[in-house]
Amino acid sequence: MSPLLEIFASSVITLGSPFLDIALLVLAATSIIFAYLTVTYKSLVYSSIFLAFVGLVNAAFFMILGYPLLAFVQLIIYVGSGVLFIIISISMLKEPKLTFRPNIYSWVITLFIFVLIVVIGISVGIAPSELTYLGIFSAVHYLVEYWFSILLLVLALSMALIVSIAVSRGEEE
Amino acid sequence: MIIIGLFLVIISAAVLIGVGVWGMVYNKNLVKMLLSLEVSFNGITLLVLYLASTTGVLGIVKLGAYIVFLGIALAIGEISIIVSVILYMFKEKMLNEISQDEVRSEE
Repeated sequence: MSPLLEIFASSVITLGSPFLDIALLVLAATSIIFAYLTVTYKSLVYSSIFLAFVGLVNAAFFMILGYPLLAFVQLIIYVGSGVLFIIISISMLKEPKLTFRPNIYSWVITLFIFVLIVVIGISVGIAPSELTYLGIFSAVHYLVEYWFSILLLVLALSMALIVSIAVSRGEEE
Repeated sequence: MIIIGLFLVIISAAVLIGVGVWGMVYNKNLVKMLLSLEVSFNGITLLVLYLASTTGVLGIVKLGAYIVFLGIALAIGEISIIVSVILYMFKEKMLNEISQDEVRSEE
């Protein structure tokens, strides 16, 4: 086996459960799709909403990596206040024109950064020793124990978002 | 069949950072640049937590959590200040559209 393949093989870690592997795959794909939509979508309001979804998926990643408290901070502070503030502020303005013109340099820069981070990640941080996958169990525990509070929180945040956008749009017209 | 587990976290973080930088460099819209910056920020937090949770450069597991917590708090402050400045410029009619070209034409 060549050295490159050995490095790659040593970097392949499974979570021991097909469910968690599939969940990670779905989360990664969702995160990438929403990030692309955030950058390229025409409407600024919808772009901000896609950013909120990127934050949600990141919170799920935090849970799986074993940081449930940070996942809650990401959900409540980052998505709940930061991104919501962007959405409400932008929805009060008129929509500007799209001025997105990707060219060959953007692809080169993106590819370079992607390769750089993957190489650094493989060579530095791939050793699986202290990583325990307790985060997902904590997530299930919190969901079971506090499901009603979480449901209320989601409904309240969604209602606040919808009403704020509707009110600001109505004032603008 | 090789099932890649945590390798997907690195891939996801790298793509988030790359897409964010891509949008930041080639968007001329101020708000779009801010949103691209936030996408990059999400990728960076993911990468830091991944490196912290393995025995990598951030050997102490809690250190990564502290860094990300501080980063989220700073990101909220940055968002509020930048969006407020953009809104102020828009209301004062310094910007007809929220575009970088308009800012340059003012100079």
